[in-house]
Amino acid sequence: MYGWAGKVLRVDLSGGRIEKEPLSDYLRLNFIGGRGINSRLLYDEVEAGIDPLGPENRLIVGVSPLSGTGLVISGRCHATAKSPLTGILGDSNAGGHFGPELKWAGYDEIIFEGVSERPVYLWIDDDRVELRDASHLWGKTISETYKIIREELGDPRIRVAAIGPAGENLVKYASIMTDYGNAFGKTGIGTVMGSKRLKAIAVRGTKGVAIARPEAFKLLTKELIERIKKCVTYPNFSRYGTMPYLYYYNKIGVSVALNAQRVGDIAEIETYNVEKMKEYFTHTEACFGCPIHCKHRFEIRKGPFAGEKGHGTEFCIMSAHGPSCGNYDVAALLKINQICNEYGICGDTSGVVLAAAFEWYQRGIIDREDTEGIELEWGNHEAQIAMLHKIIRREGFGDLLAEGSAAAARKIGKGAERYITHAKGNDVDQVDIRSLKGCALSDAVSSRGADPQRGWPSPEVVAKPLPPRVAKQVYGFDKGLDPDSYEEKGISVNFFSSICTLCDALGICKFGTKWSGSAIGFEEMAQLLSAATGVEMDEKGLMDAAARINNVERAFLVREGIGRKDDIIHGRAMEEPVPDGPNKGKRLDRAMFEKMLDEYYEVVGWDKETGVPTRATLESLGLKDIADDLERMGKY
Amino acid sequence: MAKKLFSKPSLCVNCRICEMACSLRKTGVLNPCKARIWIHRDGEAAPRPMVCRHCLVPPCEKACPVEGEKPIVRDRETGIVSLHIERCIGCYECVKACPFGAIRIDPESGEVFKCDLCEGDPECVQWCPTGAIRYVDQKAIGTLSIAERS
Repeated sequence: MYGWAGKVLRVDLSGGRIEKEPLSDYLRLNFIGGRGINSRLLYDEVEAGIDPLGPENRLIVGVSPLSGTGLVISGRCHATAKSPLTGILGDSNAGGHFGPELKWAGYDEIIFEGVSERPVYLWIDDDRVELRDASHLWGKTISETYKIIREELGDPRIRVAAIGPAGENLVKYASIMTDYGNAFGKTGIGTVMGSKRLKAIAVRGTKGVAIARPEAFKLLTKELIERIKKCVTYPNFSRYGTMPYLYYYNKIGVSVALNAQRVGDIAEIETYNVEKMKEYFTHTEACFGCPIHCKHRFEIRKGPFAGEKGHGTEFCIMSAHGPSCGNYDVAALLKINQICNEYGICGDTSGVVLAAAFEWYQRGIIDREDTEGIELEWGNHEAQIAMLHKIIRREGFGDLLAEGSAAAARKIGKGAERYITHAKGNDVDQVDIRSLKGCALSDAVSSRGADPQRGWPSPEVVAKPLPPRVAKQVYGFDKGLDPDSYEEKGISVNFFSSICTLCDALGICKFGTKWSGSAIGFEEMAQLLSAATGVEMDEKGLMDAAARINNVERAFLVREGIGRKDDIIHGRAMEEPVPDGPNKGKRLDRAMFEKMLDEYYEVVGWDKETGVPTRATLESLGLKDIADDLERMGKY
Repeated sequence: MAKKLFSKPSLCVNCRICEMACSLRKTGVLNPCKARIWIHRDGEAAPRPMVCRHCLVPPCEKACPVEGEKPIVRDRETGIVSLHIERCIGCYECVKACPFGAIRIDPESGEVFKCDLCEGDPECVQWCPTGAIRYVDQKAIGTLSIAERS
């Protein structure tokens, strides 16, 4: 077998048993790897209605047949579980060097089940796998954990994925961190790991990857690297990472400040121009096998946070904890970035939750008494940091915010829910979707709740839209790329979500793909996969695999009671028009939204009334067993 | 004229494409443990490409206890320090002696291996996306500016 390692590691934390199982041909040939195999395993092994923090939940970590091959951007790793934040499918994808190391050790997947009595960590040293005591690591930050593990195992090259105090304390949006600055951030994957009392996974692999056609793979990847370097997005990504997005989104009128009370053209965001950010950057870094190298280490040289060093500043956390919270102090933001990385809490979600709390405070929905004296006034970054620590410790008001914005708003009442925006319990973050109809649809139908990286039609957020004639040539549709149009959005969202799904299944970073203006498209994915594995896969085969993954995930959601009624944006973005900026007055029209939904269901083959994948759709993808399951549940 | 691999650590982003390209060319598989070049990363320090310097007075050659025809020899003309594995006794003295960790041990076979400069066209240089590894005339190294050297 080429590409895949062919082995699944099953770790029963309750009984302390470790087993190695073969990776079935069914899984690898139908679901490829990463998110694909993870989602099918989750569907097969996690029954509906279970407690995400109980022993029945699984934590599934998977890599792809391209993982560990290097030479092309395939260093990513996928983690999946039922989400404690949303109660539906939870998963997250991280870069760095952890995934490749797991592959080199000889595994495609790790499945954790049960709950350990005491804190443990898993040590994978090629074929030797053991659970080790982690009592001494409990309570430690991420970098302390890495250091201790590497020292006690005596190898600095060991790669570690670990949770921090936020995961241990079961903050509902805790992350798993690898390589200091890479996070499995969203949907509370770290929380599930914490609930299993699994502090870390340490891996050292020396076996490498054998590929089917080395010469062909070499030619392909060499050419791809050259093409990636010539792409229009390359200079900015490689020099400044994702930071320029903030500035750029501001120009096109979709940046948000003060919890989306201000949108676009926000003068203060000039603070974030890349020249100013450069003062803090010390060294550029890449994930494994990536020529784009968008990550940056930073150091704060002056002011109250002088001496603070860290990794991985990027746009999402900068936006959520920055303008969204009225915080325009770059040094304070970098400090917050570092707290999130060290304590293992999702930087995006924590920022959005805090932004909501700031607005509740502004409107008197909560007051100083509720916050135990912390004045949540816009831009008060000391208050922001203090409250972030309270969330991490689940202390006082922080305990409520640790449940996530939707749950906290429900509990607070007094109309608090009006001031948040989410889909299926996952916050809409980063940019305002009211003027981006396809992005809104993508958020509404995504299998893990609102999320840009799940399939936003990226041409909606470009400065210069493609001329319709060219768009038709490239994509086969044009209105589907126009942010203001409600037409052709079903086909558009399905197209872009297929790219994103395949990225997650192949372990390819989206920044190297056509989704973000780079070089890798369906054709290139098919060529890479075929050369690496020897399994002939064409574009049609890949599209089918993406559809299969999408439908398995949907079936998981359907089993949890999700249907058409839930495929909607909740809160502010659905209720109010854009307040100001270049897109002032634009809004999401409910009736038109429903029309988009109809079209999407038609494209993906889901029942228009219920939002359940039809039997015909499932059977055409070889998922008859799932159709039978849904029928037994009375979904047809 | 002898040429040497010359790294500029400030440009190295630790993508490890060099390791994979090297491993593929030399062994046909993708495995960083079999690469002749590797990226040293120590905590907060910047990553640093580590590869054989083909030293003028190679510590590996000196450390090698084999008598007669040595497995490690420096060719005076080309300046290349080459390894003849068939003469090697596998004592790892050269591994210990090299200050750059440039002589490595195959985890499967236990044999040592090192960079041979790919017959004058090093694979790692061809692939490095940032220009952090260069193949330069050894005389030119001395004339590079300080900035070019760091």
